[in-house]
Amino acid sequence: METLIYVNDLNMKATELRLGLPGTDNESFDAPQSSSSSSCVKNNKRSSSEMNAASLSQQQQQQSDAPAQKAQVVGWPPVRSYRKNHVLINHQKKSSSESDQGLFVKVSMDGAPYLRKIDLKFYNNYFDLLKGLKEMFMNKCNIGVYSEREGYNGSEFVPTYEDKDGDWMLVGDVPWDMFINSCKRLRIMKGSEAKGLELGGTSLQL
Amino acid sequence: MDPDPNKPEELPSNSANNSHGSTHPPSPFPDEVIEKVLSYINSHKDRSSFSLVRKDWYNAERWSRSRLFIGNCYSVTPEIVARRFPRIKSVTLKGKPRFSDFNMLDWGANVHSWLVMFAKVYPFLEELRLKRMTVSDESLELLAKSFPSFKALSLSSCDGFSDSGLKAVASHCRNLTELDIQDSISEDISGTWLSSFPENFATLEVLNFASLNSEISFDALERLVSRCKSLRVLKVNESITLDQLQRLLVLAPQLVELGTGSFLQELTPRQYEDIESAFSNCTSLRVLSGLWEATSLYLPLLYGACFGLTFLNLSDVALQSGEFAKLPVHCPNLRRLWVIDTVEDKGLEAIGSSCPLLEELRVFPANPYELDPRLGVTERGFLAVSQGCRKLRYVLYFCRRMTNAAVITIVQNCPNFTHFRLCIMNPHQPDHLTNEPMDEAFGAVVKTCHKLQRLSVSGLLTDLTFEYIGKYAKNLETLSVAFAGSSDWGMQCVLDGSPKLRKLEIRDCPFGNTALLFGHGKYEMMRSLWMSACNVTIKGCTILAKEMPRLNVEVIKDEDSDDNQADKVYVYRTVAGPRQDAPPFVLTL
Repeated sequence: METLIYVNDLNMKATELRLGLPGTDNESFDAPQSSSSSSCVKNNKRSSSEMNAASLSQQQQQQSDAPAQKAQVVGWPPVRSYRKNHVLINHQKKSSSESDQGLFVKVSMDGAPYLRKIDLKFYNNYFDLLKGLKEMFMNKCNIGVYSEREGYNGSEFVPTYEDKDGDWMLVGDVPWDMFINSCKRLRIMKGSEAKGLELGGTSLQL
Repeated sequence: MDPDPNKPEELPSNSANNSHGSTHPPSPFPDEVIEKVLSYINSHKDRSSFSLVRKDWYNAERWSRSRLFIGNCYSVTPEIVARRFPRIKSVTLKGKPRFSDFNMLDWGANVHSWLVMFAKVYPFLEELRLKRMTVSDESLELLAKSFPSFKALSLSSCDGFSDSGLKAVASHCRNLTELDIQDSISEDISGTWLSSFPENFATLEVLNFASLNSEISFDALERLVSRCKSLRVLKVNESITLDQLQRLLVLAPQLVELGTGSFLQELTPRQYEDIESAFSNCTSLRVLSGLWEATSLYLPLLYGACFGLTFLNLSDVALQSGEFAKLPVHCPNLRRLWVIDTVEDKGLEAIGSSCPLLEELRVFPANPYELDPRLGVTERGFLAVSQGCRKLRYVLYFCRRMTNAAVITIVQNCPNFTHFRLCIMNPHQPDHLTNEPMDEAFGAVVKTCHKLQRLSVSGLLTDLTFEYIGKYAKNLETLSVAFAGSSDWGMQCVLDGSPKLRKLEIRDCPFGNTALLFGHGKYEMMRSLWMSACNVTIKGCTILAKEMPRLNVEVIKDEDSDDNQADKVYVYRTVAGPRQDAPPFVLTL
């Protein structure tokens, strides 16, 4: 019966802080990378246990933004691939959208020769935003009072914005937080152009 | 020791051609009494014990058993099962070992041969529950057409099927009450299966398609939900939007379990109110999951339904600690909670303060490869939960640092753990304060928690941990070990102690042939042993296979490994002999 010939060495190696497979030599540091290619990783093949060997899918290698990460071990930690891929992507989606740099958007006003840029995070609510806009355009834009039913009916200028879907929306309809997360740019329209669009207006499309 | 329910040859008075009465004493009870007693015995383990007493009890039991449980599909064959049990209505079958590498295509555990037999022998089959098995479209079609009384199909962590298989089930199973697909990922699912339920079909009580990725026809879903008045479990996938969800809730306010779709959508104030009130009207809601992409802006929509919740599954949405911390106070009746570690210790502290009835906590890592120990949860969060939730008995905790002292305190606070699964994500990591191995932590767990059934260990561990386990963990049934131990002695301690051990899974540990062979008598009393990336060789496995003919010893070799190295070893007891469907890379010794 074959017995282990390096039991003593093993004790040292087992307690050594490394990610290599116990009982193998240094080449095992590279093993995770090579085993990921040799194990024919298929991202969408079901790993029906928590010990997933598809831990080094291409997707994750691209998204991994920690250059100092150690060599990853195949199938460790034991998290189901279904859970791993999905949550990791969403987590990164979220954190990239909550960056610390301001939320700068372009503002155009009909008739003005050039555009401006404002930081939406600088304002706390619609009131402050509209006040800021008025000041910025040296009070040349007369934006009236907002009402849910009639929009800015009767004002000389109407603030609109382009949302994530590319639609032009009336500023003020949705809660503030939702607005700053979806606003891509602002346009202060001439009231005469906007006439007729405010009736029953929530989503306006040009 | 649990007798294998499918081993007829263990019967003590087994002389197959024995005529009644000649060598047996008469039965102490008349048949009617035995049948009556049997009608109260539902656990398959109890029934198996019952069947071992006498031959006539064995026969009474096998004729009256209607629920079949097979924990390892290769431990027995469909033929043997069909011969012994003539009247089965419900089958539970489990396939692949949990710890195995699933990049292998077609390892096995295909349900088809079982279904072929069931179609022949159990025409009145009503329920089929499969875990970690491969289920092809052909199998689903066979199922749909063979069992006119079929009611419940549950596929947990399965694969191999697509749209056409599900379509067959939807169109042909007229009495279907349950279609439950959990954590099963399928390719080529186009989502048209849902539209295949006939227009007059209305018996569904459970519908779960949360893990299937495709778009489905919302129209078809809406009509289905409005027809099925007994629907109590509905778990939709991410393609369903918030306002669509609102319409479903209005149709089914009686739901007990709800899995939402995407929880991120621009809403008008009116829509927001409508959704809020739809949730408040679901007064029977006890279980909630899904909530993909939910943020603090949308969580308040749930508050009206939170009071009665007993299980909240937030493992699909990475909430930040600030967003999450306001939620627990609305859920005072929570028994089970699953979260992602982005809630951090602060989020766990909120749980400790607000959920005194909590029995189960699972914390999953948002990014399993992240190394920064300041991210995620630490020993502080676990401690906080143990202080506030004294009824805790199930924990799965992924973290990047832990201390012995914390674990010792945790189990003192909560001595009733039945499942303790601690995963310190960096292999071989010691106690982060003292730099010592984590032996004392797990020692405390096994010494204090007498009811412990399942244990997963991690961190820097010597053989001492396994000495503790072997000595104290008398009720342990499942043990998972990775990157631990110092020598064969560790594994031997476990094999020698732990009388109730059923499943042992080991990876990347310094255990070799001596340890493997030490347990040869034990493995027949267990369901299975898994060892990968250890020091076991093919020679050692061959010896085991020779000594123990009633075990299947399967070896899977990695591509560039040494000839004699047994990279992955799967050992399990069986009455079926070596399996016929093993793919070429699996060697059965």
